[in-house]
Amino acid sequence: MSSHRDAEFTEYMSVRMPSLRRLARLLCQDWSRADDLLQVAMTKTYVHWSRAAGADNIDAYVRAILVREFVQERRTGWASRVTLASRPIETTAPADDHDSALDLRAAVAALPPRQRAVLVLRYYCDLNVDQAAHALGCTPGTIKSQTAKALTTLRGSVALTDHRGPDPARQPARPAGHGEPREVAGNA
Amino acid sequence: MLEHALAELFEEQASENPPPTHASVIAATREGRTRRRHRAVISITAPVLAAAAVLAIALTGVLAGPAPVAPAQHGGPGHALPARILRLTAMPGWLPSGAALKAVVVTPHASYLSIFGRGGEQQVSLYRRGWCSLRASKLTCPNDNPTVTASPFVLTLTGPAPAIDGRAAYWGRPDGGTNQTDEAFLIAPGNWVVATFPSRADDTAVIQHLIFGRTAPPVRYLAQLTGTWPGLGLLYLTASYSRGMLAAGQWVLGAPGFPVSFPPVQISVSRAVPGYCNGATGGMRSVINGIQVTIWPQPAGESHGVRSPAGQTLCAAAAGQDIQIDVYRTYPGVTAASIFAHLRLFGSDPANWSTRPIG
Repeated sequence: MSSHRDAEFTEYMSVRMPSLRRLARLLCQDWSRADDLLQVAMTKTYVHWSRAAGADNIDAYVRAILVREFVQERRTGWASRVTLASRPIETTAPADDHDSALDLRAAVAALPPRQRAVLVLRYYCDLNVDQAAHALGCTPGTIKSQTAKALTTLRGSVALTDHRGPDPARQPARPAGHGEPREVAGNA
Repeated sequence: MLEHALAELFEEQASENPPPTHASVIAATREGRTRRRHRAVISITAPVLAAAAVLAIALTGVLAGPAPVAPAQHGGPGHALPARILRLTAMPGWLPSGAALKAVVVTPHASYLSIFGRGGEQQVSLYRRGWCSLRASKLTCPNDNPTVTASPFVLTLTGPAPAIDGRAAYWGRPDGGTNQTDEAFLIAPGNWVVATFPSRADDTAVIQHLIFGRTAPPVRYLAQLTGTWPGLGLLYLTASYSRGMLAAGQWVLGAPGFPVSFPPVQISVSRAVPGYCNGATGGMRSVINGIQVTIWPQPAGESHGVRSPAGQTLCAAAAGQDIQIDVYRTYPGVTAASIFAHLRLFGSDPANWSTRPIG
């Protein structure tokens, strides 16, 4: 009854799990919670697999499940919890962080979930406003306003141009929205 | 420039060497299967109940209920166990406008109410006395609900809430959650209720109006196991609620202490859907009690640290119902076929359903 469905789902997730996990990590800013989020998203994907498999862009469909679950996440008494085998092993922070990068990390981690999700969709997944709106299930206007609010918050809390001035070595190699495609790509 | 720095930061974070994951495709598949059946219980059984309630008014005294379908041909293969009767411990006395109780999960230590309204699904979790412990502002409730998790529910109490009927109440936040809060209420010493409505006022009102005691209707089973096996008793059940009736669409048998993720026997019964059993590949067809069944193996496996035990699944359609039986691990004398052979099917008329899962 479910063998074919299970095989398709397992094959897809086995391939996509690493990239989905990275996306979850960016959303949660924490590997442990990312795994919890990924587990919930995978389960929801399984439940809706026939719809996911029939979508024009399955990656975008699954990504939308993940991002919406993150935004709507409520750790309730029982419905949101998942079966986990073991506790995660924590990873150490990169040793070469600069102060400004650390500030930015902290500021991003402190953003409300929806604003952080918008930034990840825009500047990691390279989605335009319409695509991000589709992924989050909101209007393009909401994406624009959430992006503006998030950037304003970050500018207010991060001293990217502090008294030392910007470090040219920290300039990104490419602007957001261009360059090589991300692993979790596709049009929403 | 900030946008550039963000893109660079995200790239850097995404390229970190990740720790071993505890997410599992196998666990997602198992959990997904259970949820699909749970959804089927809610979406399929409820209309049956609703229709049946209307019909009962019109047809009372006119039609007698049909005889049970496919009664067991043999007695139980083992010693009888006391058949545990799980009861819902409380019923809502008030719900927000547009909200209704749709389904429950009942375990020996807790009852979980699924309430659907305009804001989607909300939960009210009722934990029995002594099941949860409170230490250093952390409320820990071990999990005995196999449909969701193997890990305990941990809630950090964040502050006092207005007392309810003179009983202490607290706001709380579940560990690992977001900035949203759940609410925990101490209803009686040792007993806890956790509600998750978006509005704290709704949380308070719902809990304030909970009616405890034997006010909940008994759970009615769409089938009954006539044989019993040593050590195999009712672990938990999932039931839909409609028109004053709780109808179990899925129940799990096992022994306390079994890993909740893979209980030995899971029985699911729902209204027949054409082709429900047709998709299986590699299944073996046979006839049990005059009913054609398909049985196929579920091989053991391991993925991302989660070991999935071997098992077998049986699927059958009879008496207007689809029946699925999952047997997850070797258990003395228990196979999907032996369980089905001792399963009395009651058909789709609620008047014939039993209040006992094991007869």
